Amino acid sequence: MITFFSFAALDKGVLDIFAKAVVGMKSTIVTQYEFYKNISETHDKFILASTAYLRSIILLMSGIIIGSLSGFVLGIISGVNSDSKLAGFSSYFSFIGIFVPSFLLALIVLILFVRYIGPATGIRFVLINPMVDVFDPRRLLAPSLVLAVRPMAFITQITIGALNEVVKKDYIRTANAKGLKSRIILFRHILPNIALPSLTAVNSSIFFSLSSLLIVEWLFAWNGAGYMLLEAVEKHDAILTTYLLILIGSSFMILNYLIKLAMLKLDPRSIGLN
Amino acid sequence: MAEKTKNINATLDDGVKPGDVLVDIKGLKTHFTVGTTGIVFGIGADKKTVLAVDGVDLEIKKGETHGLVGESGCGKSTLGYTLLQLVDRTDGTVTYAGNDLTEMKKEELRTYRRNLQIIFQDPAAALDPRMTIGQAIAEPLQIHSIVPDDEMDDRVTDLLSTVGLNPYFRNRYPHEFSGGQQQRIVIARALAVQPNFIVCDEPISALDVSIQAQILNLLENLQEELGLTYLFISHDLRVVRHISDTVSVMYLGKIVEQSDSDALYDDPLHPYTKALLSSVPAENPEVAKSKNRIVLEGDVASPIDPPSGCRFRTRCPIAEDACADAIPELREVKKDHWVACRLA
Repeated sequence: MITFFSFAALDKGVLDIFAKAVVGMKSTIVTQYEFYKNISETHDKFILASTAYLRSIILLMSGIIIGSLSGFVLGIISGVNSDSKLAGFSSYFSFIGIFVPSFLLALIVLILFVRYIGPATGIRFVLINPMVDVFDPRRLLAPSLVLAVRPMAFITQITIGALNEVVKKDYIRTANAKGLKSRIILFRHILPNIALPSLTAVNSSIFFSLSSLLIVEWLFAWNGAGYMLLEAVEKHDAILTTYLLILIGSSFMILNYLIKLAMLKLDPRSIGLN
Repeated sequence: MAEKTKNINATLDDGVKPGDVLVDIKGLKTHFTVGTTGIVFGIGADKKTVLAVDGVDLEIKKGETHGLVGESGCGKSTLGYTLLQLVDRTDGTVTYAGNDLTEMKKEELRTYRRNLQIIFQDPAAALDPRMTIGQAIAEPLQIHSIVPDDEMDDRVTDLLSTVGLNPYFRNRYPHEFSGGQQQRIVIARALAVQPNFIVCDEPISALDVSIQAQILNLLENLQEELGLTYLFISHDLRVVRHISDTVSVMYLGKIVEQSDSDALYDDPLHPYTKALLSSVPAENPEVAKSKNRIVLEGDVASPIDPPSGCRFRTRCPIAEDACADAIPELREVKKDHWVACRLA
């Protein structure tokens, strides 16, 4: 989707306009007035893009954090008691959570919140007009739930799988034979060893959620980068589109890099001999 | 230094004199449930019971090494795990120095585990990859509060030198060691809690032949110094003969023959033991040519649905119809030589 929008932006001669906007250079002669007008316009657009971007990051992060934490906890609990009812439930739930498309889920959640939960509690969880720019944390709830489902399902499955593999290992048997309490075995031996696959799952979850961010923001009228991107493309605003794309793209590269660094730190085998 | 090491590595006093029975297993059964639980509400469920260990009686005397041999999948390891209460038993009792381990409460058993330790086949899997070896050895010392924190370093150093490793390596991770070194670390960790009894679950099968001898000698020296008792599980018959005082042969969850090591190797009575021993390759090619090998037909019967009567009858070269009727019990054919075969 991102690729599609970037082509749409390029079609409007975005590079040309971008160069003009940043350094005030263009192949034709630019008057002083035009130059400063451009600068101030781009400056405004940059502010606009960054605020929208921050709002998106807040939404995305709350979705990821809710999803990862609940997925991790659910995975550990159902992995440790693999015969329990909860384990059966979470395996069915995660199975469904992985294949349900986010636009369908978003619609269901939207209807639930607008028709039932909203009137019942008297809180307006979803605003109709996104330009009413009041930051209300209650508005975060519905869209971040939608974004959380897939990471949660994915991380639950990966955690259960990793856990089942680790508990069979001889060092867990040894830990039992040493007379370690099961809580200490969990925190000292099991968790550090499943941290790596779970973190990998978090990494991929971020990309899942990013792909559904646009549609979720649009449906829930969350005035973030995804929503603004759709509007900017519609209005042929190449400068705004470029800013948004650069912000989103670079932040995901940085995030990906940070997670890779964390993975290196977690695995003593990658540190090497010293 | 030598005196200090010896002092520090002394084993716990369990009140059992050398030569008396330390571990007494009676009628031990371990059954597992396998199969699928079904898709929803048990639809399509297919559950079966694996009779991994099915009625084993075994006595291990203090200070001796008891060898346990048998094919893969005959329940040797499960017997070891059940002995240490790492796997729940289905029936029977395990008594250690007069205390019934199967009846112990969870918390009581947790502290009692100090007395019994285990060494696994694959040392790489037996060491937590995220712990330095120093941490791995110090951990049992901390949980049982064996030494105060300020003496921990000395103790780990001593343990590492006891098993022949340079204490300088203590801050390294398990993957930085070779298989033989890893197995030494595992042995040091097992010794840390000053156990009397160690289950060695194929401790040398994953190692090179040259390293095997080193580890065997290490185990023997430790036994001599500390008065340890071993249950030595292996499928390598020559190694078992070398290290064991007494030997049990296991087939499909049951012990079929039990005797002194020499008596069993020189004069095997059970047809399965005879076949096993004839499969050991001879060092001398001339001997190998003249050797009368017994080749068993077919595969090991399934422990899910074992044959009636004697479990070995389906592959036994001398089986008769009557073998299918009753399960043969161990009986003393010669002095201290027990066989579970009606024809022996």
